[in-house]
Amino acid sequence: MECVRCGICVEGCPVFMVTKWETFSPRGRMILLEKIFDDDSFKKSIFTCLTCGRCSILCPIGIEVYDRMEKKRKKLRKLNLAPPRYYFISNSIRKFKNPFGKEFKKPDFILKYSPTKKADVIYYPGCTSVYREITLSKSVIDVLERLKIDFVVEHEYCCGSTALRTGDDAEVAEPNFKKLQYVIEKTGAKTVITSCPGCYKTIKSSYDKLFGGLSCDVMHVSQFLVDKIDELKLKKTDKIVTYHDPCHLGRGMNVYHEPRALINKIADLVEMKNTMKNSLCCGGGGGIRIAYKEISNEIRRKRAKEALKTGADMLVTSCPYCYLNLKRANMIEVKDLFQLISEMMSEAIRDNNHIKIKE
Amino acid sequence: MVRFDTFKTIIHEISAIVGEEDLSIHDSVCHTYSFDTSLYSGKAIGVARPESVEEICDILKIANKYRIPIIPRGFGTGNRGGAIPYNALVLDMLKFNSFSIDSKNLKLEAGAGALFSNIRKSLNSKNVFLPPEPDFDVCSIGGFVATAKSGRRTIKYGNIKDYVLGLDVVLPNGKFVELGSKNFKHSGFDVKDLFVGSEGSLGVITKAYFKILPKPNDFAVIMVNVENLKMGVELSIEILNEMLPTSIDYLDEFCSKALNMKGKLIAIELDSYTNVDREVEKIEELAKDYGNVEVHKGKKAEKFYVSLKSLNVRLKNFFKGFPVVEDFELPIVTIPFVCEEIKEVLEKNEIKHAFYCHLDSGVIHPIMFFEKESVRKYEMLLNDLCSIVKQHRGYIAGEYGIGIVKSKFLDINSLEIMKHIKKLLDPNNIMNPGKMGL
Repeated sequence: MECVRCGICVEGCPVFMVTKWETFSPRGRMILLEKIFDDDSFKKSIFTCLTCGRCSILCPIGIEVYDRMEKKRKKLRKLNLAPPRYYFISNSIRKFKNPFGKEFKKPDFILKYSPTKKADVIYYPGCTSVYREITLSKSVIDVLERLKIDFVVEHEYCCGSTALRTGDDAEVAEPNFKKLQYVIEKTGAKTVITSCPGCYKTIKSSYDKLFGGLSCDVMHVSQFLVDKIDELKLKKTDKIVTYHDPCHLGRGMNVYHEPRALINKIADLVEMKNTMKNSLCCGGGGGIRIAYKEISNEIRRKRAKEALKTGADMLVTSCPYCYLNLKRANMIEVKDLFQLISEMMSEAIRDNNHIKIKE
Repeated sequence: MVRFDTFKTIIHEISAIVGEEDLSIHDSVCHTYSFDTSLYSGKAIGVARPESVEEICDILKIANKYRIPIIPRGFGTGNRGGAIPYNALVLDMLKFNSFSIDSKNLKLEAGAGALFSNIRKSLNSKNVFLPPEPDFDVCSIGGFVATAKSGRRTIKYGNIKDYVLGLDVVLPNGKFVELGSKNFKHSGFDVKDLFVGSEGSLGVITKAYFKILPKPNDFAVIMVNVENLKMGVELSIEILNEMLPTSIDYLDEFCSKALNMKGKLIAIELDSYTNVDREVEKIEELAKDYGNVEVHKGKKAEKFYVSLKSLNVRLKNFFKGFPVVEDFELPIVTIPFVCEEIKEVLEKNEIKHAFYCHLDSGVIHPIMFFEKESVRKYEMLLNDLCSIVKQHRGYIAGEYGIGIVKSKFLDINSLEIMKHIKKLLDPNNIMNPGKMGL
């Protein structure tokens, strides 16, 4: 479907909202789609797309601009026209199995669950939760333990999400696909769960398109936990919470209700002005932080402001990258959903012990 | 064309006015500002984003000094090529996006770059409204006024010209003027009217002052399935004999399908400060012999009119190519056979098309689908269509303006006077040259 330049998407694009240049709007990007210009604005146009998909929701004929941008980025990469940091990330994924540019040692609590035994569930935490914000994967593991889920943790390779979103070839994601498939066969697992929406979309949707898909179910942890959490008898926090829909989880994979169902069990939820399918990106999508940090920072400030406007005490999200990004805006307390669940679980245990001691 | 070293000087001078961040001469930026929603495209030599009236005054002085063509631009959603630059500097007006509503005095002030749909939402929340609506929601106030655009509701509420009380304008010589009384009444020459529909050829509109109305309390849409356009027109005439509805629209089978409905349809919009029940009853009685009648109120009715605003885009689900919409106005009784004649021409030329009409004001919108590179084919066809319209005492540009598309169909006498006025205000022809035959 070709764009007819009706402009409905323009004001809805977070990058346009902060730059106000047609060139950095979905319509501008569609106008540039068939062209190549040798100037910085051209690169900036193509590589500032957050791949958040908000424009596709607004488009009366649903043009998937993000998909066209990924393809365009692929072409530009081959012509050596992508910002240098993108090559750095791709090389890092190939060389160090993560996008961060060096080798890391995996934390012990992850090694403890290495996939060496049979298990029902494989938990794939994603690079940010394993190497940057380890409390996030630790929280998920705590909850799985407490629920007595028979699980292992697999995380050798990066899923390839950032590289694919920025136009890298399928081959960058293949090692993880193969390894996951190997682990599925070895452990006999029926479900792969992940707490990172980027990994979730890549493993479930991109692997399906690129490699024919894994031989078992792929779920986001929120979907996996939603009908199990009652067993934990969690207490509600006093804090009022607002929820930020991660783009890849919400618009990307249509998961809106499960995270909310979980939050409703542990907190009072207030919604932001732009929520669910209209949710705004945190400013971290599509690899934009790698080369256009200022734009990204402005977008995250915009989102954090929206969260503050609800009167909520805390912004909860269910994506390690949104979490990290919004936290760094330093405007509102930010928590990952599973972190909050794990904390409320610990509180419930503490209260329980306290009662027992009293008795 | 200006020489390269002169061009560098101009850019340097304009950059000193707006700041480096708000001026771009990158080819990619110029390219994205060289389109509207028509089949045409042009070439911008740069894009400047002024944020104050003073900056625009200074830019126009420079443009006059170096004879640089200037194109004011809002959201670029016009469809007559009016905002397409041809070796011109684009003035992106989106920084003029503030607006304020005075619901007690029923007045609205809005910057040229304010988005119409944002204003409508705010008006709605204050229980007031600006009745004329463009057919597309993405429309800047500057574009709305400069093209004198109109859509539904014209028969009952008039068009945008009837609501403009004043305009702030930077004239081509760089002088800022406030035109119109900004009050409901005015004596003497009302010069501001000259700028409504001037398509950026006489100066840069920076702000507009409007009359607004209290919002009606009741609202309904009545959908009637009709066998053909002729019956739709007959029903409209019957209705117009009895009452004044807000709008009467006709959608052919493709248009209704694009909005998830079936068959040829007449949509009658009613509003009232009391309630619409009596009118609804009367229309139900009149329409029962024509076909199935459905009455919608509230959200469903609103949703219909929201989706109607993207009708030509939605039609792309059925037709390949680029939608081009015409805006011919005709005496209502002639609509069925003029549409038949137009249909014949389109079919002969193998142009896929659909029909959407405002039967109250007599505007027909043939929505035609062309390949992107077929400007010549379109122009040849337009000649035929315009002569059919003129033959039946119709007008060739009822709603969307003239731009480059319709300039050759303008009446010679009017054009002559327009040229005199243009010469007086813009002797160096720097403002949107080449548009509207100027």
